[in-house]
Amino acid sequence: MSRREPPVRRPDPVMWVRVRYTKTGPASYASNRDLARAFERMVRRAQVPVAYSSGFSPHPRISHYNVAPTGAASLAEYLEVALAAAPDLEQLREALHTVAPVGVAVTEVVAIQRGATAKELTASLWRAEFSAPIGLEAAVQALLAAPAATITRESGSGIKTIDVVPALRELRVDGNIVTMVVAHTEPLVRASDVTAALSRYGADWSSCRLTRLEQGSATAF
Amino acid sequence: MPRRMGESATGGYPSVLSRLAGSILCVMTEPASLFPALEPLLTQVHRPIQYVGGEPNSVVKPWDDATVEVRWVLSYPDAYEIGQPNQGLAVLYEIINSYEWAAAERSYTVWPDLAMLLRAHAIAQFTLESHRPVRAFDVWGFSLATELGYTNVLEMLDLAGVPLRACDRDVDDPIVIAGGHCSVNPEPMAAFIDAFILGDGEQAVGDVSCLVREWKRGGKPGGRAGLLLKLAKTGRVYVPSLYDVSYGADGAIASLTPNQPGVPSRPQRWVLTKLDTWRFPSRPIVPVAETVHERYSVEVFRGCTRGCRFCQAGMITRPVRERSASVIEQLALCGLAATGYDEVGILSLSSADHSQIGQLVADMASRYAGTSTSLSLPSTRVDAFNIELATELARNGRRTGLTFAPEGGTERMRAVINKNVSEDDLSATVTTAFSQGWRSVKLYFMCGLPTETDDDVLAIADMAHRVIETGRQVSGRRDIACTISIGGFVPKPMTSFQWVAQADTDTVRARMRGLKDKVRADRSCGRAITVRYADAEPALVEGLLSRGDRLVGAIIEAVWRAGEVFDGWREYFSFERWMECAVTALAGTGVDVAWYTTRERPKDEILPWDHLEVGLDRDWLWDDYQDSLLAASLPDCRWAGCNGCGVCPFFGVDIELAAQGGGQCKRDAVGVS
Ligand code: SF4
Repeated sequence: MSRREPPVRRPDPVMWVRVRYTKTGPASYASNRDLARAFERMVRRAQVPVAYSSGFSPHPRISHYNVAPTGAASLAEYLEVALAAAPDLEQLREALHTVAPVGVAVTEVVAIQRGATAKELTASLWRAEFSAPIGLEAAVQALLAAPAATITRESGSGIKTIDVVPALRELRVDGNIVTMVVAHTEPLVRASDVTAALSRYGADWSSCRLTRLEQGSATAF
Repeated sequence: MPRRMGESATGGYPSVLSRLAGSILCVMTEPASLFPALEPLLTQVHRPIQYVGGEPNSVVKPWDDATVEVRWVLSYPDAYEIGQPNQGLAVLYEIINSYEWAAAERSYTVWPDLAMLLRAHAIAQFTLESHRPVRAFDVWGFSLATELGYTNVLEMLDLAGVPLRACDRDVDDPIVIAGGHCSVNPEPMAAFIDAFILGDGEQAVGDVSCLVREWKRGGKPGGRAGLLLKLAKTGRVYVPSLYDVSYGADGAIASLTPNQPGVPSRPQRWVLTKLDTWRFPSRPIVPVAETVHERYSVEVFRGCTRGCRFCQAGMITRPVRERSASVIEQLALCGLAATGYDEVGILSLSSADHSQIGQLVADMASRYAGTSTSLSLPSTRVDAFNIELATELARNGRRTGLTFAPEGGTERMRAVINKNVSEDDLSATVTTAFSQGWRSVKLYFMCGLPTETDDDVLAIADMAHRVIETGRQVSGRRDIACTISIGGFVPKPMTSFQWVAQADTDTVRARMRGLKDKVRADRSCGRAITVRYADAEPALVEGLLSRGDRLVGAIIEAVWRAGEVFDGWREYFSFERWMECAVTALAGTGVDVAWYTTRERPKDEILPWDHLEVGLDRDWLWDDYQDSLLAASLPDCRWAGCNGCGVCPFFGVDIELAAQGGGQCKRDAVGVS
């Protein structure tokens, strides 16, 4: 143990910012782990004065919230970054945007109270674009009328059964496009869980593209 | 037997083209992006991110840019997660894209889930940059680093709609070129690859690009054959179709000679000198998908003259050519800034041997001390210096594990393979490691080495036992661990062991089992020792492919036709399939798998790679093999003077050590000409 040095204790962050970004095109296919890695590298490439965690292997203090699932596009993704200095936020946004992978556009950086993101973003507005749907109208009506609608989904720990109705705040259909407002409940109901429920009520399609349009409070959309 | 789609020469590709051309492009000769067709499939496959491109630092040159005259696709025949971190391809990608008139895109093997969908929807193998079909490019370069990737090459050719066999391709198909370590014996893949490049690729891709440009500008004179002949005549590109092979009654090669005038009988390897002056990836692609190496790697030298007799990588990359410490540090600085990685890998065959390594590591450790950036340095040395380096590297990190590669369990065994580490060295090294705060060591070994006995392998357990005991004593702690990692030895072309019989799978398996049992029976230390072993069967197939001749190509094709891909992955590899297909494909030839693998070759047998010139003197290799049987050691020519392997005089090059200002003349100093 002769020359072993203790891990460095890092200074506390001086401020927190919320970054809003999109994931579209190729980036839609990034998983939340992929995005976490990508942002760590973006922060270093853009020379953001990010605050690091303490310990033997320090990491930039970035918290991701409710990342849109692999395969879904999003115009409204959010994360919080702890900063060790107070830079010009527009310059910071520009710097991050410049080094982002194709499909990631950094649209906004604002100062916030730590952890505010989770409190403020309580629901998502989603758009589901179906190709060649059959029985979509009827399925939407049936789901709206149902007191409960459970679907099953594979998760890391096995098969999960989820009722989508408690989280569903709004559901509309216009031709092949369904828009829905889904509250961020516990357990989390995904937009793909709702489309799975629609197929249980008889909707039939060949493919479906999901896009998160907005996040915020359910009443604001 | 599952039938593959698109097996015929025309494949599924033309239909894709016409469909897209009709719906999207109206009248255009250039192919459209396949992305719109691919995208709906991406939600149906595992980890789709690996197929979309768009990574930071990837280079996209517009498809309609007329200044781009030569378009390459660079491929590593494995999944993105393995292929993307490949350093060799990253160098070529940077060099080709640095030419205004050339472009390089990437394409890796798609997993079977997507391959099935691509075939079902008639979508061809595509590139990651422009998602254009690979068949639309001029040159398709493969890096062959392991023989177990060969079936993936066939899979990619087929998915691309490029005829499997070189002889069936026409003027519109890309020229398929392969390089990488496996190309020192190109014969098993000779039917499928148009041309092979041996050795360093930096200069080669430039020269090949120039020739292709000239050929295209001239209206492709002589068609495909015209270009291949031109390449072959340079003397530094091997075009298998321009050489005829005949076999003797014993099954061995009787002759392998050019079949056209002007084609050199001994194509040569490329040897780069003055590495400092060559481009190195300063802005490598930063993958969004997870890959096996997440770091910025700097190659600190090329070649290795430690002379380990089993090591093909060392033998075929002689002599040692170093980058200087200042250039390395500068590269690391720029590379980190351009990628955002938090680790620098100091890479080469044995980085601790760099002539300025002590200073380099100290400087870099100071520079990154207190930051989130860490350094790593793979090394095969087993000595105290290695630990000094490791300790320096881990200055502000956790001292988790140290890795050593003694390769053989007894001193005799190590002398045979010229891995000259004594029992005392080893124990001194381990003592230093544990007294400096390290808690676990990992030891690498091989099984099935020439002259090896059961006892040589069992002795590994004793070594691990001593490691644990020493560790406990020195550190005064019980949480000391040792991992033994052992794999089957595969004799490789262009090494001193190119003639030896490979150990059969039963022997290898029995020895590994014996080792495991002995460790388990060790009451005091057994629980602190983990034995990890590689399966014996893939090693035998690797042996078949690495020392095979053109007949072996038929086995590869049969195995792929039977549906096998991703042979490097345990869950996909099927030994039975390889053996079945070998029986069928070799029927009537008089040779079998054992003939290629577990047979000792006589000195005067013509080996399938004997006509290729990597600079090594064949007699020197044979003498070194004989020395190994006497357990005679061979010193490193970097420090002990030239021992006459032949490479330097053949190419007119020298060892280039950075500490001595680059090219120094060791060879002349001892009077070897
Ligand atoms: S020719 Fe001599 S100096 Fe050059 S690599 Fe061979 S042994 Fe070393």
